[in-house]
Amino acid sequence: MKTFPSWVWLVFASLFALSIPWYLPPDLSMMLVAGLPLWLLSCILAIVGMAFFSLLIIRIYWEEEDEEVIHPQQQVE
Amino acid sequence: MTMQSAVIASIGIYMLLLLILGIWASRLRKSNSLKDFYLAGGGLGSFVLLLTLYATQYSANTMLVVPAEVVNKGMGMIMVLGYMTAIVVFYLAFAPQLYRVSKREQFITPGDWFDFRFQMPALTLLANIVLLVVSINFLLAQLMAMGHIAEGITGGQIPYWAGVVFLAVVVILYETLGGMQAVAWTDVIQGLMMLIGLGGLFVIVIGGDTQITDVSEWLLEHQPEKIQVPSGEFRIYWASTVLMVGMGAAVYPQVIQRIYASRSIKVLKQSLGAMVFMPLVTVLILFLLGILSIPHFAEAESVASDAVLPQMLEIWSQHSPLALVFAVMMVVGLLAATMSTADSVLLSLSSIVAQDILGKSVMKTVPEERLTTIGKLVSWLVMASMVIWALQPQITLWGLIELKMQILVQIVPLFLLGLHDQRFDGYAALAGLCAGLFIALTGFFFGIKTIGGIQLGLIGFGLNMIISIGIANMRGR
Repeated sequence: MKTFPSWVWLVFASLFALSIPWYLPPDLSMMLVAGLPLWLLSCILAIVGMAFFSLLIIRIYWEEEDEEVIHPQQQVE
Repeated sequence: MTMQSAVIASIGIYMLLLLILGIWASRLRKSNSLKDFYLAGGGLGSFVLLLTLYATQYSANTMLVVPAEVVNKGMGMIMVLGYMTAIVVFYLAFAPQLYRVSKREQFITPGDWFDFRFQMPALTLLANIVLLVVSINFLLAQLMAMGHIAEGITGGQIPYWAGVVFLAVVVILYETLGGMQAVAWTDVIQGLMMLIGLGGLFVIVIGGDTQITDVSEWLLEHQPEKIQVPSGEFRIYWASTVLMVGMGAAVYPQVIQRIYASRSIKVLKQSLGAMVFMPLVTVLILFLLGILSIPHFAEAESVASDAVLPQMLEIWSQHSPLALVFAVMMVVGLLAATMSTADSVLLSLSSIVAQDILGKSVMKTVPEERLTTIGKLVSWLVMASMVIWALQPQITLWGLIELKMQILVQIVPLFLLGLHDQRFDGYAALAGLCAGLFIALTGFFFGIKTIGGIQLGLIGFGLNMIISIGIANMRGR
């Protein structure tokens, strides 16, 4: 049974592609923004996007309905 | 109080705390069953699960290497942020399904999944051998790091050998006493110490005299190669490393067992949802601290991988008493990070030997409680051998550590395809695994790590997948 729809992996693949610096023109790449070159900032932003997207799909698509029932005595916290 | 004396006192307190935790955890355990000992009864809550995953995944090596690599190689090392995030993304590809099956079938080890899904002893054995080789190397690396870090941070007052032996004894003691319960809670302390120390220090350092903009401008003028866009071949290497490490590190046996140990799907969701942000609050901070460290090492041609962070912590600790507290937390956290990774690896290693190798062969009829005791004995034996090994570094197989991820990634199809493709059977899995391992091992013996920038392990993985899917389709017809 699929937990996440297939398009989710396409989004991850796109964010992964954006996290490698190959697409910015050289002049723009070296522009400093907040002290960091733009190419580096775009890599970081793609990874931040990956983190938020992961959180989003976990919340939306990962269902808990078939949760196994565990005896309360087994709980640790 | 100097940083060194504060560090030595804190290490003493931390060790005592670990042993108390071990005793406390041993009293919490309901029985001596394999599930209670190795998976904390399968009842870890989200807070403990998150921090034990964090502490296990982030070894001291990660903490030390990031700033050092930034100083040595420049900003291209942001690649580490990519692969630490990719690991969590890859969990999402199999953890939801694996968790459900593991609870239903009462799995203890990764081998339980291989047995259940493929029912082919030869495949389980080969996969377990790969996991054992990886775990032994990982454990050895942690023991050696323990010795080096203890010696380094105490200015030689604790020599290398004493660091290895003393810390190994502490680890084995609390682990034998409390099993996964003790390991998970010590991970919580270590994780919190690291996060608070790193976060606090970052706030202080970023508000200091040296600004990132100044360093970037200095780099543009003096060392442009460290700030420029990495070369084409490096970008290929970068992408292939993110994929290889991202997938490989997601199937470490100790990580798989943490998925099994989650109390519920809700807990697993919460932990993974938070875990995906951990690279941003750990690796990114270390990366930025690495950038700020560059001017301090401007004259050095190359800096040892474990030299940057300890030296900078010494410098930063002089900012204020609060900075000293955070720096001490970080230093003790580094030592704790090696211990928390070592304990998790050792626990999963002994479970594989006790449950998968002995429990399914010569000790099939042995009661579970006895298998747990045998597992503990295995832990002691493995630890003793590894300590002897670590004390004679001239005969270590350091090179094998590099092989670790190249062979570990070959296990990925057993989870990925095993959970998503019904036609994927034991024959397809075994053929794919053999092909992938052949490529990785051939490369290792001929000293080839990459081809055209692509990690050889990833090339092996590609072949592994093609053969696996091809044979599965042929047999499926």
